[in-house]
Amino acid sequence: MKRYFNIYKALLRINFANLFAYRANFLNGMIASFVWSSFVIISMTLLTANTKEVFGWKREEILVLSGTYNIVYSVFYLFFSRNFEEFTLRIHFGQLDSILTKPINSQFFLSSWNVGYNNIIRFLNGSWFLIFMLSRMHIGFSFITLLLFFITLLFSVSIIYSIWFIIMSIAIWHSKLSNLVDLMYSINGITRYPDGMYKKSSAFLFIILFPLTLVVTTPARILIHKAQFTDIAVLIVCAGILLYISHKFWNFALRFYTSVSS
Amino acid sequence: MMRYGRIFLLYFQHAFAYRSMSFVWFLTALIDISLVIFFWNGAAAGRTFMAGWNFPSLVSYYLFALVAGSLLMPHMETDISRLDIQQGGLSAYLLKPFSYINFKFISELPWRLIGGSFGCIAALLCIYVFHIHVQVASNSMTLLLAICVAGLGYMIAFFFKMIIGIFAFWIIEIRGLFEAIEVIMIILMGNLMPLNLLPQWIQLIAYISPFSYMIYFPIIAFEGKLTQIQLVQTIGIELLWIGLLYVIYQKLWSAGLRKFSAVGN
Repeated sequence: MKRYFNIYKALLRINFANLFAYRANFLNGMIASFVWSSFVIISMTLLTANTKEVFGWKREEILVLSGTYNIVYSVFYLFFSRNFEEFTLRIHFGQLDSILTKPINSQFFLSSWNVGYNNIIRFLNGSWFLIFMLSRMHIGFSFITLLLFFITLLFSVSIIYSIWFIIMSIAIWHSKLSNLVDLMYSINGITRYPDGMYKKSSAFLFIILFPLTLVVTTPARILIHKAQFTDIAVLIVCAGILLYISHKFWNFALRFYTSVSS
Repeated sequence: MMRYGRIFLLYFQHAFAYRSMSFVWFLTALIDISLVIFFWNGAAAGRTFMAGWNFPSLVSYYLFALVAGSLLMPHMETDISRLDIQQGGLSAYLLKPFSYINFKFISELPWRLIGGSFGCIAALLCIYVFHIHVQVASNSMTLLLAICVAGLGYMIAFFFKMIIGIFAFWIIEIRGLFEAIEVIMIILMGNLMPLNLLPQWIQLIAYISPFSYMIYFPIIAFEGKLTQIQLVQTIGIELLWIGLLYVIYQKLWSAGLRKFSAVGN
């Protein structure tokens, strides 16, 4: 465990040094992060312009959901998404061979090599909007609220990571699917909306999407003081189960990996 | 003419070999649009919105948007900027006995046809399974004019994407610009919601920009929401946009070629 911690510390340092080596790339990433995080807020503002309450959420609460979405995904994108962008390419071009021969867990290697520091701008964009919305709604937050928010945020990121990893593992069988990651970015959009939306649409759909419906709504509910103990417990249990499944599924998928170089 | 036919067939084979990729692109569009439909199911159910929209008419709009998005929206700007200009692949095209823009036009068509067919199949399935009433123009003349509006809308999108693709002659790291343009396009093309549901000032920007002619006008043309006179006016404005974008493209292309240098190709 300590070895992995040291490796990750070194990776964080290397990635930070890369920022200065590839400044234009970093600037582009910052622009992209700013634009998409603003889009999340603007699009929801426009969609709810004629609505006071929908699916049991007031308009302001839905906008809090958008701010929370930006914060949750900023953490996920910061630590993981760039690695998933390279995932299918590594498999398609046979780079997985060299990863599998290294004395390091392949899931750790594939998920942690790159860090997208540019997503800090997404975090800041989400944070100011959340603070603005909460103050407009006259909702204060205590230390306990913030602590619970960040704890649930970690479990939410864990759920998103596990789902991404499970779906990206399909690339072992279909390595041509280089745009699988774009599909995942679209699937993230599911979490932007209130969970009641899926309940109303179809019970079957709600069951399928259940873990995803938790990842943004639970931290958002904590901020607006509507979370219950069961919400948090269910989030933690889902995170544990999905992380375990992602690990098992990856090991299962590896049995079907046919290298290209050997 | 024959050589362009051959290029089309070659690229059709290529696009068909990568049909699973087209399917994934289509799925991303399907998810985005389904989410908005689910949202309107709660926000607009049982009441009429401003500008005469209600839930069934919105569903009909988004089904058309699904088809239009996959059929009429080319995605070659990343290849142009990264593979052709930044990595120097353009020099191979410059030596070939046909124009670069014609080549790009022909090679993009198979992707649109395959993507568009996924869109049509999904829309038809939705109509059949969920018994959705889709509003379609009944008059054959109106339909014919709507096809022209859609075709010209594709041309506008094509020239626009060519222009932003060749920006790479001047801007090396262009991803941020592409993302910014994509977000603006999603709103102003009418992909997020029908343009007349947006605030007045955004509507104004959308109508005077070329973006509304790429998706929004083709959709409302097929839905029969434009009179024949309005359709002819739309075609006229589209032709003006195509002419303007083509001139801009030619100017930028000539200037860009003078800057272009490729090593080792």
